[in-house]
Amino acid sequence: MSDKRGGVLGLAGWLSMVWLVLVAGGALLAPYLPLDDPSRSDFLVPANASPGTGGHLLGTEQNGYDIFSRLIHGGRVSLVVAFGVLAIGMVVGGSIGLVAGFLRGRTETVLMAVVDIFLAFPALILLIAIVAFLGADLKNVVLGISLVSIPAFARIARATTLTFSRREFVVAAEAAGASRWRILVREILPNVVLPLLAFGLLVVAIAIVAEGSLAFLGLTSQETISWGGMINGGRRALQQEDIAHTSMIPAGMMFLTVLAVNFLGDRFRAAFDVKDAAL
Amino acid sequence: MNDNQRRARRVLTAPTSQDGPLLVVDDFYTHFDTPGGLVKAVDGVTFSLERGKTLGVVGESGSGKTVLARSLMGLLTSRNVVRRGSATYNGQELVGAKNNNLRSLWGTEMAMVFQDPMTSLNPVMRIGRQITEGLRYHLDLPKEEANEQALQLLNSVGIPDPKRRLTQYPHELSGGMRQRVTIAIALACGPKLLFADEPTTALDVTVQAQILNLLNSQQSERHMAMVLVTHDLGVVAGRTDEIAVMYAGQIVEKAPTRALFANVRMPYTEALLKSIPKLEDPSHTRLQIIGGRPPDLINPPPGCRFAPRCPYVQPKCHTEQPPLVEAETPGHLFRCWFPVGTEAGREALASNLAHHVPAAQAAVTGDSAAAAQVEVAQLVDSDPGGNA
Repeated sequence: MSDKRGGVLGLAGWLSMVWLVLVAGGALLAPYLPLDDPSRSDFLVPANASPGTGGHLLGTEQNGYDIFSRLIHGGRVSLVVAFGVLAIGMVVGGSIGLVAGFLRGRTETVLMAVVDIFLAFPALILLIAIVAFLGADLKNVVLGISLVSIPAFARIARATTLTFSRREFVVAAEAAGASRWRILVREILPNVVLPLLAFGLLVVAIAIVAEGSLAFLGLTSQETISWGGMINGGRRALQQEDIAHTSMIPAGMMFLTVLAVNFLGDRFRAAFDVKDAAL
Repeated sequence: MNDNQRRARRVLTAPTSQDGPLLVVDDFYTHFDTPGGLVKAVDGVTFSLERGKTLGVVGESGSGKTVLARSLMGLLTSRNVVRRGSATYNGQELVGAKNNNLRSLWGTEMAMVFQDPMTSLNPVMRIGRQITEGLRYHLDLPKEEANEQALQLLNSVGIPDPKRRLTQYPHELSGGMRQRVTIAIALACGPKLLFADEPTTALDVTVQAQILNLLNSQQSERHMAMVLVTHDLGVVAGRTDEIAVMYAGQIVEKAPTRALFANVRMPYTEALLKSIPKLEDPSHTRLQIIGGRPPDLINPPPGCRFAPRCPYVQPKCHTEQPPLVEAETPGHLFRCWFPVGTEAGREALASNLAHHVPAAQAAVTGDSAAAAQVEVAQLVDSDPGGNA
């Protein structure tokens, strides 16, 4: 099974995997790596120094901070946002959908009505409102993006639960005397988790971009190093001095990471897709 | 649970002689309340079944045989199901019983083998766990003992290399193997009553006989009562003690297997038998079909439900519903005013042929145009506006 999945990934899949491992590994180990202090200005080189100047691999930005070091450290925010949103969205949204799809009836009507109301809100506006209201720190950003992603998780979990809850093997489990709780946890849940996880990777990509968007709009704490914040910081240099690298390098970083996540998500979805023929 | 109790449990599931029938179904109804009206899927069914006996329930698609099995088992849970009448298992009433009470019967007392082994196994759970789950949950067996039992079960249902199979997933097994696994799961907790709902329909013809023989041998070995639901008279011919032929939710003929095949009384049963292709027929013999289709179960015909398609049909059949009456052989019941093989039946058929009744022509000459006429007549009848 494992070598088959390796084949399914393909070259691009493996490159995506390697890239994500590098980004995540760098983010995790950032404090222990021999990097410049990301928050210490280098006064020996001019601000917005070009890549390669004065030992700065990717140059410095408007405050004279080392861009490469800030990229690696900025990955931490993306990592926290990605996993935070994935965990909260899957657990909360998944549970709502699972319960709604399994119990049906009035429970489903009420739960899905709430979900639909949340879906009807313009996501970014809601997000900005939440973060602006609660204060712009990482915890609130994660909570806000999670809240916006929960309805989508709930809908997918419910739809998958519906297709599985009347499948013959569930009826068979019932006929074997399994309790409802047991059927939900042992028969349906394992079948719902995989499609949910494949969708989760897509949400991870959206979450990274959403965090970037918030930071770009200045809705992030000033001490936090994040890719979105870096792009925002380099905006003025781009507009007024035609210096592109300070904003384009973090933008490219985000682009490649989101692309890799999307690509990998796609491959995983194809590999895990339980088609009737393969049942 | 200590060893003694466990032994006692096993003694209980061992063959014992029982007084009276295990399953008694008396005037049992299952209707579905739909926006279009009340669908009478099972409409007044009566039979009883003893341990060690097999009942074959035969009928075409939509005759209510699967609904009967699932309804008796208590698996129809949607809110629009209306069940009436009585069905008792070992004296315990099943109609109207709480799900919690039924759950104590499911698996250990009665079990079911489903139609399609492709969908009746959980795709993300190993075979071994699917089998041992019931053993550990119902019989409280410790893990090693349950695994040991699962191995024996797989062995007894004829799965080669059972040790390896335990760790495999359903998609790694062929259809026949999977059906063997579902049978093993159904048999795991030693049920006394087994429902087999078209267990071979989804399988290759070559595997069908093996699975049916397996069910048969397990049934007699374990002294179970078995209800074998199928649309194939050939399937039940050699493997059942009694056969109930269903049409439009009712039993139209019920007899000990031998008596039924020796002495068909109901024209529907005769038509079913005729529609089986025979090996000795020359090639390109036109397949005998039953013209028309089963009636609308919301508004079944007022008289005999088979009347619109029956070659023997007489005016009386359209107005009066024939009761289940007993033939000369005791235990042979049928529902017909002009039964096959009697003087009245012969006269009815002869007069229909003389009057060019399409159903009679289709049945005797195999004329497909006449068969099509039967269906057209049904369509016109079922269209209240009369503008068909």
